[in-house]
Amino acid sequence: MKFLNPWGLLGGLLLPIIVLLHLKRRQVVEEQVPSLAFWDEVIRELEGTKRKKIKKSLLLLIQLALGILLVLACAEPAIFSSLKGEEVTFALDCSLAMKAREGEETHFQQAKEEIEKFMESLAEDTRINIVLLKNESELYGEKLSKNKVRQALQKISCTNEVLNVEFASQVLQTLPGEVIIVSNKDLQLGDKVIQVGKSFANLGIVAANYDYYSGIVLCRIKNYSNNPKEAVISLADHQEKRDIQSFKVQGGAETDITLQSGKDAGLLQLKIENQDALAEDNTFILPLGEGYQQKILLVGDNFFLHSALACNPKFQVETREAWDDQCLGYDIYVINKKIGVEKLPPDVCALMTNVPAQLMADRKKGVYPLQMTEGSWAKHVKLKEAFIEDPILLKKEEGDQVIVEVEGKPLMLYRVKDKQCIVYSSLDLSNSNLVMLPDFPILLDNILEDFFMNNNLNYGPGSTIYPWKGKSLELVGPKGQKTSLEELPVTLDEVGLYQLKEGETVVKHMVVNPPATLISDMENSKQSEAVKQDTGPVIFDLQNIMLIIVLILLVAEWEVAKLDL
Amino acid sequence: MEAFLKEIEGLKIVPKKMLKKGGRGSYKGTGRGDSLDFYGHRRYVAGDDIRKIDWLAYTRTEELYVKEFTEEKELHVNVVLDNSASMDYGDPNKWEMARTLALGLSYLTLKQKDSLSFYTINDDLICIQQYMRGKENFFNLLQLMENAPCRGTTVFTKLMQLETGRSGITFVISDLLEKNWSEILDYLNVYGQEIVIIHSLAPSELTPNLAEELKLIDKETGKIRKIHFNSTVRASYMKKIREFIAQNREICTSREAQYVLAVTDMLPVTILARAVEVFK
Repeated sequence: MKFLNPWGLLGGLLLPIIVLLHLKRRQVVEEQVPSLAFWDEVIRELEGTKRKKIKKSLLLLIQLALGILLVLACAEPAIFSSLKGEEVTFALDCSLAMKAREGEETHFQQAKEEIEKFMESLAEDTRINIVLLKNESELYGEKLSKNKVRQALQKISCTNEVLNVEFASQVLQTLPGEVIIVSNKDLQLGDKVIQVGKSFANLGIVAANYDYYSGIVLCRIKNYSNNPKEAVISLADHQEKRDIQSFKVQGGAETDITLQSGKDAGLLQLKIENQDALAEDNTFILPLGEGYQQKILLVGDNFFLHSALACNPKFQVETREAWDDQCLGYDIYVINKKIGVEKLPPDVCALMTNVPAQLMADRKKGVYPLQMTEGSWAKHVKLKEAFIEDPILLKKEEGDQVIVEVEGKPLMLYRVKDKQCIVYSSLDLSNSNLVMLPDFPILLDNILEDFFMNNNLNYGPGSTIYPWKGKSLELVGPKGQKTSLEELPVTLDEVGLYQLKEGETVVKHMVVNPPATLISDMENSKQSEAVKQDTGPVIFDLQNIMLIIVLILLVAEWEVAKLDL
Repeated sequence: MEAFLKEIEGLKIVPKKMLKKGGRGSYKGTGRGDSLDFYGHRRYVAGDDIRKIDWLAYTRTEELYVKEFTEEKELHVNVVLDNSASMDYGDPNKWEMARTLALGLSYLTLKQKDSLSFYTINDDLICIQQYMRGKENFFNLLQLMENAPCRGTTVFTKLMQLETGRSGITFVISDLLEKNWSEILDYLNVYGQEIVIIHSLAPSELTPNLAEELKLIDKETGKIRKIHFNSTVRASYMKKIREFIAQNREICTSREAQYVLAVTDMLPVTILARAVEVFK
């Protein structure tokens, strides 16, 4: 015999309470009365105290038996037969794409039905594992019986996450026996693939951007099906000004289109008006203008840095002379003061233009041309005719990425340590003509953009928001749902605009847009509650028997208690 | 106490019977006197005061008649308060309630300028104050009763020592736990006293809620009984108490005494109003 819910046995700790209550009831209490005359008459009328003592002990025994049986029933006792058959693993795709609707059902529902159908062909003693394929795939149940799998399937729900194939492959490699992939994608991960969904007739917005100077929105649409599709895409801003366009997207192709918006646009919403299989990737939000700008703090004022940052409409720049407690809560920091890295928050993204002495290598005498290295920050930056006089070179460590160099030696480098992402720059802006070139604000923009792209400042379905120390915040979701962000981190599940509020004040806006791809190899996701290893099919459920005995004992207890009354 | 006295300000103690004995007062007596209440005519006999001759009757009948008026007597109120150990019981306490009622009755008596005697009874009858008149004496009584203790058992036969030379009302406030208390009603009846019995009981005496295993201690005698208390015992006890109350009421009714049940969770003013019968 084994217990399906061993925690229920903890209820046994309450049994001494029954004994204590009995002892307390048996405890003789002294009571002063005005006269014993009435009591003497009552005693004469009612006699038989010996019988009562026997009944009391019997009552205690019955109540203890009741307690023990209830505790055992809570622990769900059952007799099992051991599973000795072959081992099969079902890898169920729970990623966003599985929410695609085809007829009345989603692909996810079809996948569950396919698993149930497949199980019918398996022997009764087959041990079944369930793996949930998503961003961070997990082993949901291990060595389960068929019944347990059916119960588990009812509890599993689809996520808004992107499928991380590499992570899924690592999880599946650890499992023995046949691996059956159940997905609407062609995933070459297991021994067998059950493909659900006849087609994936879906159009999705994979990216969008806004040109601040022309007021044009550039949008990239992907057609996931093999057939060309006519797409109707609309653009609406906060003043309900709209642009709508219709165009054809070839099967399996991506198409860029431009839509016209006003220059004072606030929150732009792009929407595919066609009804398709997946609704979740039909909306894309572009947060623009005041209130949605990225907040940058410049610590230690510098004319060149301030001018280059302030000319970029994406940023809202604030300046402080020194680092203090008021400096928390910004998206990115540009630090032009000598501040130790240890003073900065553990997850800071910062550009430090005042490099600590231990990072400096040596000073080169003379005038040298500046050179860009390959990387995302080199986009549209040529650095032709950019020179520096007497540059201070930096020491490069393993893992550092050089951004700007002089004769192969770093002047500006990117370093990630724990969760801190810092760009160190020894570029003396007063000794270089770089600040006079159009390359300078572009270079700054590229560096800051890189921070946003790579360092959790860009939110997607499944991104996690952590509580801010010393602040009582509330997260308001796209549908107005409120979640307290005091102690536990919160996952952004839905696509749309989230607001982080302190009281009635909006501290931060967070936009969650559909993922650029439905299959990826990175990012984190939340974990679901997993089913423990099963011992085999239940051949005898003792819980019901115990509950029947409890009922019989309750009747007996009532009869004995009645005699005592 | 002050609030309570204000509440009972409107109550009045009025005797129902005509008063036989006692000094001159303002209540109807059984004899003839000088009050303004006309009683009747009788033939003039030698020795009658000629000022009482009704000359108008003489002109009509040519016979001499004298007018007669009723006599006015003073009301004497006895307040007998049981201070045996059994009275110090219950929540609200029986003794507290009984003392409040006794003081209330005393206040009413003194306020209407009648004569008051205040006694406590347990093993002995103790006269606290006798033949008091006037409200000014009330404060003195209040002080005397402030720390009066409850002790001993109730011996009602001691009430035979009560001064019965004056007619009036005797209020007895007790829990009536002595068996032969009815004898004292007979004794007081003989002396023409109006009797009001205020039976003081605590709610826990009427409906006891006790633990299961009990060691009961008699407050007066100190005797001990062990008892297993359950719903059957409780029901039997409550039946006994109900019978006890009914029996006491019957004893009072049969002797023309007024019975007032004073459960300590009732308002003292309500009990007092019943005792002086303003509701009738």
